[in-house]
Amino acid sequence: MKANKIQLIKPNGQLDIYYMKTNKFKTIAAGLIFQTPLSEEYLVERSLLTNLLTKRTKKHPSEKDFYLYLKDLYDTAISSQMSPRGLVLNVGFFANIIDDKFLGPKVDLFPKALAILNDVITDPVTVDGFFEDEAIKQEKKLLIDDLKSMYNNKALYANMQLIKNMFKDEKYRLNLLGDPTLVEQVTKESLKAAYEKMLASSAIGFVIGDVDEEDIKKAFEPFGFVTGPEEFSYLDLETTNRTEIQELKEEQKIAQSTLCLGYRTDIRIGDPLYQAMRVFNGMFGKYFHSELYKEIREKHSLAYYINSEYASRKGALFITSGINKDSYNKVLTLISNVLAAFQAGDLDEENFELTKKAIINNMIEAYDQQTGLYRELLFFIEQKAERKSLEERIKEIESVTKEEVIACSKNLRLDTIFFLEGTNGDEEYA
Amino acid sequence: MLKKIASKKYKETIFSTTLPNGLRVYLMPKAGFAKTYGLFVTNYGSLDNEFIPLDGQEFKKVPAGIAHFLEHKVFELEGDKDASNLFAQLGADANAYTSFTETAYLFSTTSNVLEATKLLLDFVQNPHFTEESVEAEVGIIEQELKMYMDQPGSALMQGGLQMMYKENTIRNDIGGTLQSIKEITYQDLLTCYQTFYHPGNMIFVLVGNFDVDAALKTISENQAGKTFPPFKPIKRRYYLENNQVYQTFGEKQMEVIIPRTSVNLKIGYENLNALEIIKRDFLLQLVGDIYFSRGSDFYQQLKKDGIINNSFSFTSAVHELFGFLTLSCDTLQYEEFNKRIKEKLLQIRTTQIPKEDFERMKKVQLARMIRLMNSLEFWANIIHEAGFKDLSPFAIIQALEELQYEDLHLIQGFFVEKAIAVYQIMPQGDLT
Repeated sequence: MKANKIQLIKPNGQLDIYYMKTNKFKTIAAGLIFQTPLSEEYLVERSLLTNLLTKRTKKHPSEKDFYLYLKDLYDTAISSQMSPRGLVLNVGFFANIIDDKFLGPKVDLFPKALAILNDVITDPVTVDGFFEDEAIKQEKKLLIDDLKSMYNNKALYANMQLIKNMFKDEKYRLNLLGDPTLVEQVTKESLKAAYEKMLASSAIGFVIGDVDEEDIKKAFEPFGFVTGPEEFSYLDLETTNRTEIQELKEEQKIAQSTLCLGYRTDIRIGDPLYQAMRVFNGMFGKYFHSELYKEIREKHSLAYYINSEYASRKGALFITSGINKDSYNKVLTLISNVLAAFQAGDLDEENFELTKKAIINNMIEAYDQQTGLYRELLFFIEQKAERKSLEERIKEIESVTKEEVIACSKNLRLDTIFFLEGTNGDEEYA
Repeated sequence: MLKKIASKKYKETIFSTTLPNGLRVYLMPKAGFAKTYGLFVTNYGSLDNEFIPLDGQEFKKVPAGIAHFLEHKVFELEGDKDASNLFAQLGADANAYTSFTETAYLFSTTSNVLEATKLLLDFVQNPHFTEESVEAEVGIIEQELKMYMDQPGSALMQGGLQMMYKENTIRNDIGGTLQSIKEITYQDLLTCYQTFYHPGNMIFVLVGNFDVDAALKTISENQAGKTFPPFKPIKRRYYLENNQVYQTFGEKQMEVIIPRTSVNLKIGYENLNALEIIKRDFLLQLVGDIYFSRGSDFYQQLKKDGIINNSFSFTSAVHELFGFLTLSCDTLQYEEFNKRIKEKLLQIRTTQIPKEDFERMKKVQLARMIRLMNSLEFWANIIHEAGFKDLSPFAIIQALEELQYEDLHLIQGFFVEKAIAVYQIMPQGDLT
């Protein structure tokens, strides 16, 4: 399968635009990403900005009218999102539009959408350079409500508590959107400063879809952003040397308990054992045929779900499972036994083969979605050169050896356990 | 032989046929995609609790949650193996789900499409569960049910349905209850399987990167090699209701920080054909977009007054057997929310909806549909949903394209007081 070629376009010599041409989709995705080192400074402000900026512009100062204006443009979607990648924070502004050729009349959505994107970022509603008090107040409240409602998603809440405690002295904890009290502390001055800092940071643009190169150049030409020369650190090498495993518990009146385990590993993207680690994680707890699933769900009926997730930039692995509160010790023992088996060299042959196939299947499938292509694009940008071809990366997975997988399992160190204990008995649910 | 349906506008082609055993097959090649999505689905879901079994004369009633339980068991193969493993060997990813109206088994793969197709047909048509394995599954399903029970969203939806409906089986949780799953017997499962998993009651869809002729050959030969009793349309019993709600208010306490409330509007049963129902489904969604999205003055006012936040949501569904519209939000101002939403809903009945609002939101719905067309899963879904109604998928898209402003009167009558029920999830103890 041929992966799409990525072209670098520089319409005005300052801003790098990455264009991935494809006619697979009926939509076009485009955007602008600001990049800065991940830090606590202005983190909450940035989160507020992603919401403040995308709701209206000086040209359309009423939220309602801006919304209807976008809807009239065949549901052109303008959005913004913050995402940490290693020790880098990406603040992206995105436009997603219907490809004109599937609409009856000619509508020229692409240039219109890019112009709106530029306005959203550079022409917000301000008074003397500051965002309006009322707007700030409202966005703060909405963000606080969002943070509070995360409490209702028990598996998410449990994972958040694990991360908060495991990485309390490390930047990785900043992956959590924030503390309601920190939101309160934001002022219109700090917001203005954060906004100006964002505009001055290194930026890159992208387009994924079927668009003429000339149209891309024209649309991005007026963008006054600059792609800086900075080298960013997409790997997070921070760690804490813990002498004792943290074992934490919290009780809530819910039916199901959630068990979260956090492990550390030295193996990250770029490490010679990186692909082997992906295979290990797959065999351990990522798929239906994985050891954790087979042992804890199929063999012992102790869980409906148990997953392991590999944070490859951080050097960590997380296990999450929904269980009965009385199964805590049993499940911990079973997990420990499963890992010990790997470390002792006891690898299931079928699992090894199936996992490789599954990883390869996922890698190829990613190209069928715009989000998959977007991730490809980000990798390309980060590695500043043609990323290894899909075929090469598939070969790397295929050549992972059992010894390498065993080595990965030996490198895991259990760091923190968090147990969200549900104290409601079955009688409550008759 | 293969029938061809093409859309010049959307540049898509779908091939279909019905096999001698009754199985309807749809094949949709998608150029440029690496993956293929296969779906084998039965017209049997959690609503279908009372029916005349294949070999019976009388109506039989089964415990709630059985369709979902059966879905778990169908994955089981001879000798304690699991079908997902066999798919994994082909490099494919398999899964299944049960809804109110159907049970679906699916795979997604970038290689071995024909083998995966055969496997999907074979494992669904050849279940191997035993009395012991049925008992063992109870523990797993218990955990699954508990996971959903702790989710305020699920509890809110189920509570809302239970307020609106008195006897319609939609009030049962799709997975059943901790009690009802213990009442499911091996024999019950077998009866349900034999009745509803007959090819005449099922559809097979393939979307993506494959050769149409090769796929047809594989599927036809596979089915020709099996024997099924002659298919008779299945007699099902439903308790269809008018739009009078069963209870106007209900609530429950859960481990949440902020109360979550929902205002639900019940849509009563009307004897209409499939396209008429689909039309009403689109229209209701459209009206929701006009009044309850960020483009409405009503929404903006609610936000300004601190009554709603980002958790505010609107959902609606109009189906042959049920229909509802729900507005919900996590908010401390739940009483005011309930009051204002109710007032607004009743207003919609007599409002002269501006034509430009209609035209705009119609464009939006079309755009949404085009966006979804990027996904193979979307096509598999719309194809089989249309198939179960004896429609072509393009007919559904066309129904949307052909909506007229005058059609709004078809649904404005839905918005009456007796159809409204409120359901809330409240935090434990007192609100601080």
